[in-house]
Amino acid sequence: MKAWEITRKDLKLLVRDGRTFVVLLALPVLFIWIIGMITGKMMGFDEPNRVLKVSMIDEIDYETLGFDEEGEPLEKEAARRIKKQARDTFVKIHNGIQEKNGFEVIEVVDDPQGKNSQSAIEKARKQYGSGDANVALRIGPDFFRRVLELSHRDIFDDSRGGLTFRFAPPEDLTEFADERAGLEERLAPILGAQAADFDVFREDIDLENATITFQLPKPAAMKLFDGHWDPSEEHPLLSDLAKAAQPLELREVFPSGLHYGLESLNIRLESDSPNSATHNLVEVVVLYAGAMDNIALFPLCANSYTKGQIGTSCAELEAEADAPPLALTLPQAVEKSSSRVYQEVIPGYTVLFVFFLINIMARSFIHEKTLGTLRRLRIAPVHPMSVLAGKTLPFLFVSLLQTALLFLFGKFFFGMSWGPLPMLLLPVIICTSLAATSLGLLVATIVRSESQVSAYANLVVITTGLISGSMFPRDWLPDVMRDFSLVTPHAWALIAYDQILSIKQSPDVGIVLQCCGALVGFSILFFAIGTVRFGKVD
Amino acid sequence: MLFAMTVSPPSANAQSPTLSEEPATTGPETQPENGVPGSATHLLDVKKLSKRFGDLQAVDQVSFHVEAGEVFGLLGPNGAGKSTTMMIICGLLTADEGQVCLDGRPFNASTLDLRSLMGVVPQDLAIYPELTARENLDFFGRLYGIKGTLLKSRTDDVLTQIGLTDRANDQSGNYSGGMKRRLNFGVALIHQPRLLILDEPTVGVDPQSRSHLLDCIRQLNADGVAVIYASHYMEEVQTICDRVAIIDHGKMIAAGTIDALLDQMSSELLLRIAEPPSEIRSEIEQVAEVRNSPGHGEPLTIVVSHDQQADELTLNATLTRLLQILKAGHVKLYEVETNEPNLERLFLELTGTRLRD
Repeated sequence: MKAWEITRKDLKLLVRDGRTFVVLLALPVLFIWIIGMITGKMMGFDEPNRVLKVSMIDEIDYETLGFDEEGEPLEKEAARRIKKQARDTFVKIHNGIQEKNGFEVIEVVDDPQGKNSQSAIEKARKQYGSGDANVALRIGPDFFRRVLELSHRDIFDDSRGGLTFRFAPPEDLTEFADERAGLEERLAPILGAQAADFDVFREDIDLENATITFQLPKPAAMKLFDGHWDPSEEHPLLSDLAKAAQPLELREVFPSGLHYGLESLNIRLESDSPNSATHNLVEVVVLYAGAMDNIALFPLCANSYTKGQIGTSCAELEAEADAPPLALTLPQAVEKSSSRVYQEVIPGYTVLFVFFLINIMARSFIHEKTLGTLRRLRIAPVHPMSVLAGKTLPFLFVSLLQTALLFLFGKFFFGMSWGPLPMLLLPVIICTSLAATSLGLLVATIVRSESQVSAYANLVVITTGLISGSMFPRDWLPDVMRDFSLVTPHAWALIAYDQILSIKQSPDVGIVLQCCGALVGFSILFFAIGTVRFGKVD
Repeated sequence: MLFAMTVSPPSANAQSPTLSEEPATTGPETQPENGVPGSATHLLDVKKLSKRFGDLQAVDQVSFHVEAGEVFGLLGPNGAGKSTTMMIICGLLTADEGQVCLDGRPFNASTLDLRSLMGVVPQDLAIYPELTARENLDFFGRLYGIKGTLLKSRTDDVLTQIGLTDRANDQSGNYSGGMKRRLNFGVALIHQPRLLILDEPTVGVDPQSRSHLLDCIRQLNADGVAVIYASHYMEEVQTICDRVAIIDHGKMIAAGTIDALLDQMSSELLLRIAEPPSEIRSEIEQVAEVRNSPGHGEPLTIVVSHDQQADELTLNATLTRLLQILKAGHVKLYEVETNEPNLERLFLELTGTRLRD
C-alpha cells in the first residue's frame, strides 16, 4: 500500500509536469504525423494524385474461346471451363490491382469482344476527364487466347529467368541450409549445365517456403520445358532431379522470372499522362494479377498444349475450374492500403517513445535524489522494494497509457489496422512497457546527475532505437544487424507487432508469445540489476 | 596547548546527574551507570559506532545517549563525522562497528517498525516543490501509516504549528526560504515522533522563522519529545540544548551538560599592552601568560585566567603586581577585556581555528 502512495504521488507530479506528456505523447504523434505527411499518407487518406484510379474494360472474346485451333467447337463442359477460366483471370487481375497499394479500380465495364469498345472507352474517358479515373485498362478480345498460346520459351527472360525448386518444408532451418550445400553441383549435369551457371542470390532463398530460385541460362532452364510429354505422367527429368537433390525432398520445379509485355497479352493501357505510376500498373497486371499462373498451368489442364510444367498444381486448377466464379473485390472491401505505412511507423515510433520513458524515469529519480526526498523515503517505515515499486509503477502506467493512446490515434486518425487478432496486442503492449520501465529503473540507478541523464539515457534510447529498427522498417536492416538487433527489447516488440498488425496474414501466436517471453526476460534482468543498484544509491 | 591552558579538569562541584556517566570533559561517553546497554530509560543509545570510507575513519567509537524529553546538541566542524553519525542513526548508513538502540531495541536499516519513532529534518530541504504544503504533509503522513480523519487532523495541527495554514494549498515551490524550512520541519512532525533529529534546521532562515522554529522545538521538548540538534549556531545550541557532544575527526572529544562543560573553562582577563622590553616581558611571564601579537608592532595580550589566579595569587594581587610591572617598565596599557566561558569558545578551543573543508 505504501508503494501505491509513492505511485500516486509520482503520478500527480507527472501530471503537473507537462513535459512528460509532451515527450511521451505529443512528440510521437507529431513524428508519426510528419512521416505520414512525408509519405503522403496523412490521416489515412491518400493524396489524390498518389492513387491511380483505374477503369477496367473486359473485352475478352468469350465466344471464340469455345472453339479449338481448327475452329471446331469444344465440348460443352470444356468450353464452359475455358470461358470461366478466362473471366477468372480477368477478375484476378482486377483484384490484384485493387489490393495493390497506390491503385484503385473504380469501375469495370463489360464490353464482350470489344464490340462496344468505342462507347466503353468513351465512358471510361468521361470518367477520366471528370477526374474519376486516371487510366483505362482494356483487357483485349484475344487476351486469354494469348495466355494459352504463350510458351515459357516465349516469355523466359534471359537476364532474370530461372528455375525455382520447391522442397518439403524443413523442420530445422539449419539442417536445410546444411543439406542444400552442393546442390548446384548435383543438379547441373541433369540440365546440361555447369554448377557455375547456377546463380543464386540470398534473396532467392526462401527458407520459410522451402524454395530456392536459381538464375539459369535459358538453354538449361528450357531443357525442362522443351519437347513433349504426357502430362499425366511424371516428367522424365523430374525423378533425376529429385534424386540429385537428396537429402532434400524435391516437391516441385517451376519457371520464374518470366517476362512479357502488355501487347503480347493483348492488353492496352490508355492514359493521357503516362508516368511511373502507370508503368507500375503494368507490373501489377503481369506480376500480381495471376496471369502468369495461367500461362504456366492452364495448358496442362486444357490438354491442348503440352508445354512443360512439373508439379501437382494441375489438380488445383481443375478444382478452380469447378469452383464458383471469382468475385470482384470492391474498393470498400479492401483494407485501406494507405494505412500500411502506419502499420510500421506507428509500432516503430510507439516502441521508440515507450523507451523514451527511460529518460523521464531517470530524471524523476535524480529529481527525487536532488530534492533530498529520496532520503526521506528511505528513512520512512517503507521497505526498499516498496520504494522501488512505487517509483516504477507510475511509469508503467504512463507507458501503457502512451501505447494505448498511440494505437488509438493510429486507428482513428491514421487508418491503421490492428490486425485480425487485436487482443494479441495486449500482452505485447504490457510486456514492452515492463521492459521499458525496468530498463528505465536500471538507467535511473546508474546515472548520477541531470547531465548524465541527458548524455547516457538519450544515448541508450537513440542507439537501441536505431539498432532495433524502430526508426525505420526492420526490413531495411541487413541480416547481420537484424540478428544483432535481438539484443534490444525493442526488436522483440517490433517482431511481435509485425506479426499482429499484418493485414494479409494471421499472426503466428507462437512467435508473439516467444517475443513476449523475451520481453519478460529482459524485464526481469533489468529489474534485478536495478534493484541491486538501487541499494547503493545514496 | 591552548586547550590545556584554558580547560580545567572536572571540578568537584560540576552539576548534572549525567556527569557520572558523561564526564564533562574530553573523551568518549562512557557506559551508562546502570551498566545495562540500551536501557529503556534512554530513548536512543549510540554505542561505539565506527564507520570507515576507504582510508578515512569517518566515525571512530562514538557513543552517547539521548533521553526522552531532552534536547541533545551534536556539534562538530565540517567533515568531523557528525553527518555520518546521524545517517547511521537514521538507518541510511550501516555502521562497521557498534550499535544504535532505539527505545531499548537495536535499530538498523531493516527494523522498519522503529522508524516511526523518529522524525528527521535534514539540513537541505526535502520537500516536493510541485506539491502544496498540505499535499506534502499528507503524502509523508500516509507513508507513516496515518490515514483518514487522523491524517487530516494531524495535517491541520502541523500546519498550525509551522504557521502555514493560510498558505497550505499553495505549491511549496512558490514559498519563501523560511516557509520552505518550516514545511521541511513540519514534515518530520506529521507522525508525532518521539525522537526528532534536526540537522542545521535554521540555516538560511530569517530571524522570525528561526525564532518560530526554536519555539516549536521548545514546545515539542516540553511535550516530551527528545531532540538531537546539530548546528553551527552555538548561541542556538546553548539556548535550547540540555547536553551536547562535540565530535571531531570522527571521535567524540567532549560530552556533557552545557553548564558542566562551561564550568571547566575559566574566565579570562585580557590586558593589551605595547611591546615591552625583554626583561619586563620575563617579569610579566612569571605572573601571567603572554600571547604574542598576530602582527609586528601590534599589542601583546596578557591573559589572566581565573583558575590560574585561584591556585597561586588572588586576582587582586595578580592585577596589582602586573600593573606595578607595567608602570615600572613604562609599558603602555591599551585595553582591558574579560572573556567569559561560552560554547563557541569551548568549541573553538577543542576543535581549533584551522579552516575545515
